[in-house]
Amino acid sequence: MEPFELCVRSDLSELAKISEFVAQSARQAGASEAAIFEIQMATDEACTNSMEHAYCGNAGEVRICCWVEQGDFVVRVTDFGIRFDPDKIPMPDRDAPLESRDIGGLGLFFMRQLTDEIEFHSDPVQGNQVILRKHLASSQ
Amino acid sequence: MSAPQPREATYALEGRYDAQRSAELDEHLRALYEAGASTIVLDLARVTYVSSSSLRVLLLAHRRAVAAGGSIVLANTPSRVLSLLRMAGLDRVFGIRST
Repeated sequence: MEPFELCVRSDLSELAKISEFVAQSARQAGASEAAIFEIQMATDEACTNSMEHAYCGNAGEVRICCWVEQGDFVVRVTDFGIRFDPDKIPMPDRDAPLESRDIGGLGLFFMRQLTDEIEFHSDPVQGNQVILRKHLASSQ
Repeated sequence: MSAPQPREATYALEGRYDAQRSAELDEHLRALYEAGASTIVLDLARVTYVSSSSLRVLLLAHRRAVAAGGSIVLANTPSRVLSLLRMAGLDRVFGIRST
């Protein structure tokens, strides 16, 4: 499968288009419907982070590239905003009572849970990249 | 005198609730709460997707509701959404109704 690429402006109204793009690409790669839903959600969360936190609502570009590599469906989300440090985001405590539950960190939690591998890179030229991998074999 | 009964309102959601629509969801839930509904039953039968942004809105609404003696109840939750709730331990926070 040749890589597919989509570039959108940093605007939450683009999220539905991104989701459809990822679904079509994953379907073409042979992913199961369950895996498509999971990679769609992980990508949606990554793109939302770019738009809300990297660009802080300012103008910018978000690039989404999908390809198949060694049995994995891979999605790379790139932005050129403020660097994202995943280590600074606390993971939500699933067992904490509602009153004391930290309400943040859910997006990153789902990105980790719904993919088989996740990588974060930051580079002044290449931008901030989140790479999401989903094993195609285990998704059948 | 008996304590006032919590007032219940039902609201049906439809479609995709990503970060763009979470603000709209927040406005609707706040309006219902300010109109006196302490328990809000959300019918999710026609929901296709719920992002973390919208789940945060539901959590905040649930906190408000609990403080007023009510809760947020999710009805007809699609299996994929229910899986996400279970993954994050939120199925034990909200009331879940099958119908």
